[in-house]
Amino acid sequence: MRLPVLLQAPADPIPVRPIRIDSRTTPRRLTLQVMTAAPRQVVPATLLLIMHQVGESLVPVIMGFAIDQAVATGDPVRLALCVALLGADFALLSYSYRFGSRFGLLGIEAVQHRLRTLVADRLLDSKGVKGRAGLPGVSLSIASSDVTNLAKAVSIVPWPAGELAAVLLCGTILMVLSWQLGLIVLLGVPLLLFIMDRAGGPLRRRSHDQSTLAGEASGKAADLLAGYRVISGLGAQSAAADRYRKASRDALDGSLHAAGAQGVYTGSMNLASGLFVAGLALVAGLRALNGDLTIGQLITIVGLTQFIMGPLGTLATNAGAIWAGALASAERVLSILQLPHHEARHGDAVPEAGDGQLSLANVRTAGLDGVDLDVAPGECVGVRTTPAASAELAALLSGSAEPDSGTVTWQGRPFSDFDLDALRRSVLVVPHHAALFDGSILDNVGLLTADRAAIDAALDAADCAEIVEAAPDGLDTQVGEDGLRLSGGQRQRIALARALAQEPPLLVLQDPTTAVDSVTESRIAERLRAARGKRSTLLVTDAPALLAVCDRVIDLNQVKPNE
Amino acid sequence: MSDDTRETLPLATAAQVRSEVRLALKGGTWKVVGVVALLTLGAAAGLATPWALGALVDAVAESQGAERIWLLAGAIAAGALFAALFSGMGQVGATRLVERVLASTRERMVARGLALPRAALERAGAGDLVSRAGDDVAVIAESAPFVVPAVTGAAFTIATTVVGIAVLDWRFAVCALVLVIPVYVWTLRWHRRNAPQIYEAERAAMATRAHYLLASLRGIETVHAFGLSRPHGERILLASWAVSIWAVRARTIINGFFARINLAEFLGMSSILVVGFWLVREGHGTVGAATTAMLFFLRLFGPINEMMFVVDELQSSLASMRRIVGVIHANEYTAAERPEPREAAADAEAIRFEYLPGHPVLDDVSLRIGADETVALVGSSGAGKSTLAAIVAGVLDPGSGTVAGSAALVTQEVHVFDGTLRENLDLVKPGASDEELHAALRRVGADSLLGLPDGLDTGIGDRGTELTPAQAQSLALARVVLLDPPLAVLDEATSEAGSADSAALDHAATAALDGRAGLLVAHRLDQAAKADRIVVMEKGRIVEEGVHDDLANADGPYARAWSLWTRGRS
Repeated sequence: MRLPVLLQAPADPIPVRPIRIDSRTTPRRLTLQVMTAAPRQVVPATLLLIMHQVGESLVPVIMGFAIDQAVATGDPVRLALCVALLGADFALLSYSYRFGSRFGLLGIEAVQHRLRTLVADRLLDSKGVKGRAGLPGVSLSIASSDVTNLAKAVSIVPWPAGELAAVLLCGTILMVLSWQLGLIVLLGVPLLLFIMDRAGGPLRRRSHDQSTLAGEASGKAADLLAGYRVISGLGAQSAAADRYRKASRDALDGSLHAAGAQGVYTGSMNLASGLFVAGLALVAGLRALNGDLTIGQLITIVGLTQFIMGPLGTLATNAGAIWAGALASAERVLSILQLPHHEARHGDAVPEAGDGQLSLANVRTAGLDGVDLDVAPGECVGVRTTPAASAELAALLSGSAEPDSGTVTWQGRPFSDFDLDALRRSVLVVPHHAALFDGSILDNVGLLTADRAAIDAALDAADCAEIVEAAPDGLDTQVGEDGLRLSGGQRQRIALARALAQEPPLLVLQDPTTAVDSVTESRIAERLRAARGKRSTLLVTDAPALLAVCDRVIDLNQVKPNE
Repeated sequence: MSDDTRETLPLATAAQVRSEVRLALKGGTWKVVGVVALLTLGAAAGLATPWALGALVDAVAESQGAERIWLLAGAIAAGALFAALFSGMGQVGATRLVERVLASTRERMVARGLALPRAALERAGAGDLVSRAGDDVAVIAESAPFVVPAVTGAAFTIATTVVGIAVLDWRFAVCALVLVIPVYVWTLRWHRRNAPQIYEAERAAMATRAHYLLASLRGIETVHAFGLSRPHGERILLASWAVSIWAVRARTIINGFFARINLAEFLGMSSILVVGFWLVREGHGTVGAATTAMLFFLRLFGPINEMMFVVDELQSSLASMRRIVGVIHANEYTAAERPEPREAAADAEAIRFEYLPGHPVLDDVSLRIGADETVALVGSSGAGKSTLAAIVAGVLDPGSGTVAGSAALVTQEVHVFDGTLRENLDLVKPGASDEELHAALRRVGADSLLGLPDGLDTGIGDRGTELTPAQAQSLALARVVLLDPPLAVLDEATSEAGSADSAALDHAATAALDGRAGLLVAHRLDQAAKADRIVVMEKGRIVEEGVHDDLANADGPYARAWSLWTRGRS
């Protein structure tokens, strides 16, 4: 017979209390928020783990009782009762741990998921980041390892609470037997906790260095693997492996240093709790010698003292190490959550559905020198310019940058009036390096939103018929990671089809046919106008075949109005 | 977005993991012995506490005086000092050993991963490997360092305590062991049946999470442009919660494991009670002996729990270790050795290739490139040009047919590595001098790179100065110059830059091929026109071959493409 398995993770993430981050949030405050984010799991976990520890501390008490009442008296009924009592206690301590630890883990997982949601949202946020985004591999390492470490802070309450309860229970029993001994426990524990925090300093610093270096190493691995085609094409595998080895050795040094700090910390905590027990033994022994305690009481004290070392040791070492690791990871998680957005301003206006007029009036940036540019509804305008200026134009039109002077308007309103996501649905600026994502051709072109007619029309316009024909599963063929199962020219055409299938009122394309041959390029050029219909298109390119189908072509290299 | 065709890299067997660990520990046997010795000393010093507490009771009972009490308390303190010292040092030593093994294993894994043939790596995706180098290493680093100390300390304590109980009265030991050991054996078997596949599934889910995160981070511009933040975020978070679901299932197994251990403890304790009861009643033993046996048995709980916990940690580490070592042992992916070509830079004959059965990409293609000859490969996209280029360059192996020679390959997937300009260049020639690097950059006309603020030591890539596509491509060509191979295959190596820089880049490509044989896959036909020979491909076959003037004036596909190309260009 199989018993039902209780307390499993539900299919959907468990909600937790909001974790608020602003520019002043410190790693310590974030860690404290994490500790208190899941009260619905942490509170039952804490109660159950306290019950567990109480059950554990009762084992020697029950055994002492059994020896007194059953073994010493020779009464079989009392023996049976004591064994039953022991069984009940074991059931209590076993089941309370079983469910307490599971509640605790559910809390950790729930908070971990929430943190990962925050990190992923920030990494993918449409407002981007100011400046460079950093190494994808390092962000990956923060979103996986550091989030996991930080979420462990959830366990800082429930587990030590149980251990503390056991220590306090023993302290209370000792207090009843002798107030001096109780005092030692009640004064000694806070002292121990204080030493723990002090001793944890070097460990916290080393943990931080270690997770930074470990993140660098996995970031290096990700970077090298991202450049795998370059490395394998040039036979540079062993040089690349050497590069990783260097990063790995640095990470190893960090780990070795952290191991030293961890050893010193664990050792000093064990020493502190050992000295604590020695003090207890000394006082108890002297008091018993004076006749203030009976031999029986001394045995109880010895049993409790022996037991108390377990929870005391874990209380001292685990909680501190988790706190130190969580703080170090909190700092790295904050390095992502506190990234500044790009500086362009945004309102909350939503562009009207359908066509619109794009106007750039006397726009100046580092690379654009007083540009005037209008695209009327339904118009197809070609732009010739330098790569640097085209990148700046793309940043302006995608709403991620603002001009130094001049205005950029859509449907007669400045870009900064609009909600960014809504603006981008209206004005689609396709990046020059358009990435494909793993999934089928259909997934990539339709993005799960476009209707089938639009997809078919777009595939036809981007001359993808032969790609689909040659692909083993037609439209359902998987394109692989980064679309690497397709050739460069195929990827570019699929990416173009994806842009066309979205049917945005204004589509901005940058050199969309650099990887295709001239025959295909001219076929695409012929179909592009028809595919766009009454919608507007801005084509930034030098390709004559594409420029030939534009209504007009503006050459920014030659237009210098102020000269 | 379904992802059902992603294949993963293999998992190693437990035996392969063992031999890998042995290899990594080579020469470190004495260190292992030293660590075990330290930990044993630590455990022995730890026994001072129970011994002194027992003696304390005796001292009070026999009124041995306050001096004796002070002495025993001092013994506890001294024991704690030595235990802290030895156990601490042993723990540090064990962690360092594990970290060293882990570092050398992950390095071997990444080296092997980078040397995997393209087809194998790209089928699995870089995310799988990155996750093995990140998540799995982290799992092992967290649990493995405690395995040796726990086993050593616990084994020593258990052994001395069991001997202690037996010395007291052999019947206590026999009775407890007969009842308890079968339960432990049953518990371990149960764990072994249930835990490994759950840990395996958890690690696989972590790899999927890494895969999606990495894909979205790399394509972040596209994610933003198409407003994909939400679906991509959801995809990542779905994968993230899947890891959580597996983690809770793994915890359920651990809980079941502990419940069975609790049962064993209960049986042991009750049997001590019952045996003590019987011995005292029959007059074979004293209440004091029963008390001591009970106290001894209580002291076994901790170390036994620790030992059993180690079993679980070991299973967890093993699941990750199998993934790491699996890459090192991925021998079935070793590329075939190639013969040297005779009087040519490369010689490919009767090549067939298919990515998927029944869908040939190359169908009986033969291509010979003479020494110092530049051959241009043209044709519509999807004709098989890139596949042929990759086969000639040696990064793909043909399905059938023979290829002699190999070459440097530069494709349109330029990647600027995170690091300095120097590091980006000398990847192909470690230790190259500044003059060599400058010369290579100058030869491909990458003067703008020479003007970067810190020269060769300027940081570029994802965290440094952002290069323009044209700069990135000239950097790629400079690598070829530095490597100086007899044959270079340039597969659209100058296409991504956009048309504005094309003239300069075409010039750079010509310079990079100067003095060596070249195979040039080109869409810009004016570049192809300058080649010694032009080969035209269509649908996986060579359909036309010759010099530009002949082909342009014939009535073939090249002539049609050429007339389209020249239209609008003067």
